[in-house]
Amino acid sequence: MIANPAGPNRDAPKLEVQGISKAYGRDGNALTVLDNISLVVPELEFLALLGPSGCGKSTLLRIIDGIDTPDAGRVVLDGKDVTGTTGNGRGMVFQSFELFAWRTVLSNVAFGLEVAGMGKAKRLQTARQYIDMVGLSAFQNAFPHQLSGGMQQRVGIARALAINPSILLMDEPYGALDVQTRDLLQDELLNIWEKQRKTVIFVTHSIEEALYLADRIVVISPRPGRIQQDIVVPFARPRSAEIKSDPVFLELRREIWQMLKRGVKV
Amino acid sequence: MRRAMLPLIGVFLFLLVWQLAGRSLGAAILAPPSIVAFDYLELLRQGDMLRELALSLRQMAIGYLAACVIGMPLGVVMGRSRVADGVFHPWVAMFVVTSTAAQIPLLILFLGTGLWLRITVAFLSTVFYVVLTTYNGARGIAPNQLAVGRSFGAGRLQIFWKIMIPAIYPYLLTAARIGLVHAIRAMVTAELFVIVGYGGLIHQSGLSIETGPLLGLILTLMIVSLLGDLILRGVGRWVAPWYEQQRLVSS
Amino acid sequence: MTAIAAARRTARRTTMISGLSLALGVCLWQLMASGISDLILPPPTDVLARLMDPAFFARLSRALGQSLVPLALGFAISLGVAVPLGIAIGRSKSLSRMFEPVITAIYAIPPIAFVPFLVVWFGLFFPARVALVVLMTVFDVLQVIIAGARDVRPGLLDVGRSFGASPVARTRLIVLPALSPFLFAGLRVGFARAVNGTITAELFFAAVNLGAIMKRATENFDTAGVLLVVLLVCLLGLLGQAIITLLETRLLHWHVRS
Repeated sequence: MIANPAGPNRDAPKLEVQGISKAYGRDGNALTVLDNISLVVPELEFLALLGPSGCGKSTLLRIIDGIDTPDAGRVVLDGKDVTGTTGNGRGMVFQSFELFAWRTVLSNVAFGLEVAGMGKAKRLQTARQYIDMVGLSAFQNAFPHQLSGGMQQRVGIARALAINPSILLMDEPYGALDVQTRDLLQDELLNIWEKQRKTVIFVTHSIEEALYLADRIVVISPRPGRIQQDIVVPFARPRSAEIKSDPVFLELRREIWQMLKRGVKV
Repeated sequence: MRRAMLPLIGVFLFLLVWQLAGRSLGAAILAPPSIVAFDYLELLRQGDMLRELALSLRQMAIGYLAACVIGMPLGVVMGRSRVADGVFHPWVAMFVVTSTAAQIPLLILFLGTGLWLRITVAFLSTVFYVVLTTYNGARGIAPNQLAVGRSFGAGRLQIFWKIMIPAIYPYLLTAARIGLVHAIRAMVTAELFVIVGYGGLIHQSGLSIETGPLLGLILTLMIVSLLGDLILRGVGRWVAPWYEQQRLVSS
Repeated sequence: MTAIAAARRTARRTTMISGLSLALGVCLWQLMASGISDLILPPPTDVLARLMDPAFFARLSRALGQSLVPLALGFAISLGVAVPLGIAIGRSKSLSRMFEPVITAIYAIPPIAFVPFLVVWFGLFFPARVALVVLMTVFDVLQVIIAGARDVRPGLLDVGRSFGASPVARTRLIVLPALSPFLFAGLRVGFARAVNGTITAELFFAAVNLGAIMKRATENFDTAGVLLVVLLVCLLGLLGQAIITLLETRLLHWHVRS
């Protein structure tokens, strides 16, 4: 209801998704995962892609990141066509963390900088800053297997942030964690985001998570993946956990739930 | 379509390179497939190859079966009992690391060069691999699976037959397959050493100037190995059709 | 007692049992040997005496030293072939599908059957021995490396791609480290096979070094001597495995073994 004064800059599209389609399988057995998806993400917006499992939202994110290629359509970042290419200021956080077991936390976080060619001293120093930001300074020399799931994902987030991406892509980052850890990490993410605003695209299947974190929710219906609805989240920032029991919040949650149910036809 | 073609392309490339190399080097060094094909038909016609093969395989089979019958239960016991593991593991480790060829002169001193030598060589070369593979399977049974049995009140024997054995079934099959590979290797090694049986044929063929028949004999060994593996996998699927083969890296 | 301390205690106990088992075995051997002719089964005391004989010991050590040369060379060549090839095949689905049947077929042939062939190609001496070591080692190592290269979690490679790493960078920074446990497994298998190949070569080609000692001892019914060479070969294999495992524990301290 109250528009966020320091919100997304709607005149400057950070990212444009134009007519993205993707299908798996061949000829008669083709499964259309994404069907002509188009989307505009303004600068500094926190966008949630919401939908049930198998609706193609992860695929869309991977296409935006460039690690998968679409069958049709383009991805335009800051006016440049980046379809099918990786890097270029996009940082991704994976659901299964995907840390390198053979690297320490410090070395993992520095990975993106290493690939970009930054010198050792500088990249370790930068990495330490981001490790500090996620509160894991005491663990910088630990190996991933020594950390809990929540801690590993923090490392994953630090790794993505360390390259100072212009857009942060998060693929159900808390999906593999328990509810308490998830709530904790959500708040931490909001904290970090308040301090260092970035454009974020956050994939989730949790309505509550989408409403809590995002400025805007794009609901995707499955098989084939299409944009079902585009919802502006009306809550002011900074947000706190109490909002989750706010009646407006609960009402919106119910509405979206109904919407999803309608969208999920067998 | 293209996917199915790839293996054929691979085989074709291999045959092509072989043919070209064989033609330029000559049959005395590397007989090309064209010549080997003819020589192979000749080998079949002569009958020595198949006859010796049958005799050799029969002896190998005795050693191999003995190795499975003794090795599998031993592997299970070692895998489930730390005491048994402690008792047997050093011996298993020592034998596995000692090559067949190194064992043969010693075994000749013990057993002579007759039937018993070849059966024993096959047995010794096979049994410890069977033990090790089964051991790994028996050790790796998820404790929760056994807990399910206990929580339903199953007795120890029931747990053994209804949970343990099915659980290590893929390892048993892999043990049989790995065992077969080593049994065939042992058979050829022993026979080449003592110059008897199928190995003896290989030795004699090696003395002649034509490499065609030699390659033919080797080809038959390949067919036997592949067929044996196929049969074992078929038997495995027939006995336990619910089970997917586990791909194990051989130890 | 903490879990770690309890585990250590059981490990110590198992080691003690193993030691006892070995000692018992030797005692049994001694007992059996007293009843059987010394030509067939010499007692452990005889074997020990043979080892203590300075002349024999000198011959044995020299032979071992010389055997190590084709072993090392063959092993190195096998690794040089199997590792890059294995990575290439393991990482490429099309290469994999193309060459899998050929590799499986060649792997089904007992390498020893190629001995007469190797005589034709390489003669009876050093080159032939190296060739046999390579032949016996390369396929086993190849199998392990292919399996490992295939096994690299696609998610890790996604991370590499997501951060814009080139294929070369991805191989260097992700595939190789992820592969390293398999590399060590390959080293262990490979070393055992290389020892195998060396002694086999020394027995089947022109008998030299350890193979020659073994052959001469066999002809002289010097069972104790033959047994000593076998034990030496066995020890060599065990030592190699122990060293490689030690290296692995040191270098791969991040690796959690199940």
